Amino acid sequence: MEAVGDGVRNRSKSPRFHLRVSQRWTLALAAKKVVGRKLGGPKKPVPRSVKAGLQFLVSRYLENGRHAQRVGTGTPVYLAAVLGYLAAEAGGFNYLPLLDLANNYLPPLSQ
Amino acid sequence: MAPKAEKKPAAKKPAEEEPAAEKAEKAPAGKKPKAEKRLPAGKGEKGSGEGKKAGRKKAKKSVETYKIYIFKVLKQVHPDIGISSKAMSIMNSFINDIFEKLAGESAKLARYNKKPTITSREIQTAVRLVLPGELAKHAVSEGTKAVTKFTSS
Repeated sequence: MEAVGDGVRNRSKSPRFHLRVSQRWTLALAAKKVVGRKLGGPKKPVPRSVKAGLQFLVSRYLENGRHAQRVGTGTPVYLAAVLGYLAAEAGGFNYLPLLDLANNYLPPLSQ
Repeated sequence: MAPKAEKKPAAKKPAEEEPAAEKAEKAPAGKKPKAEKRLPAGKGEKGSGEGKKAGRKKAKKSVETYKIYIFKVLKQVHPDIGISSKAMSIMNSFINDIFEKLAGESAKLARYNKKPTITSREIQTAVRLVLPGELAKHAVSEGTKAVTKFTSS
């Protein structure tokens, strides 16, 4: 009778133990998921020149209220692209003869 | 004189300017970059700083130029060719000049239409007004391509 009683007590204890273990495991998995999300969540800041595929700096020279009160989002990107293109073109890097530009904008080279 | 000088490769400059390029690229990484620090780029005879100078007081005031970006563009087009300091100063002055023209023209356009905002549309119209002929055409296509890539990314 005592042995049977001990057996019953052991059996009653074991499912609780298993439940606790499973609870701990699920909590650990949840924690890992949360940590993973947190790690993946905040993206690293990417410079706008890289986003636009440009070499010139996408910056805020237009601001400070010198030219207009407000500046749109695409404005510095567009301007950076134009300046980069002109730097490549007018610097003679492509070796294309640009007579109009040379006459208008580059007096030192024409001398 | 200047085109002959362009043929000489500038060995000292890229070593100095590359770390500045790294810092300059990191500076606009934040959502709202306020103060941009950049090292003075080499020995330029004309230290043509732009209108916006860094307000922080340290040993030296940082002079902002386009020289590192002009060098990047040069390496894109001709990886083996260098550029002299005088030619670099000329290119820097040229970029500043074009910037002022485009910014002024777009500001005028915004004012004529009674709008307080300069958008990429104003810049596009200013490009068409300021640049001659085929140059404006290519510049507009470059700008549109950049804005499209920027919005999609």
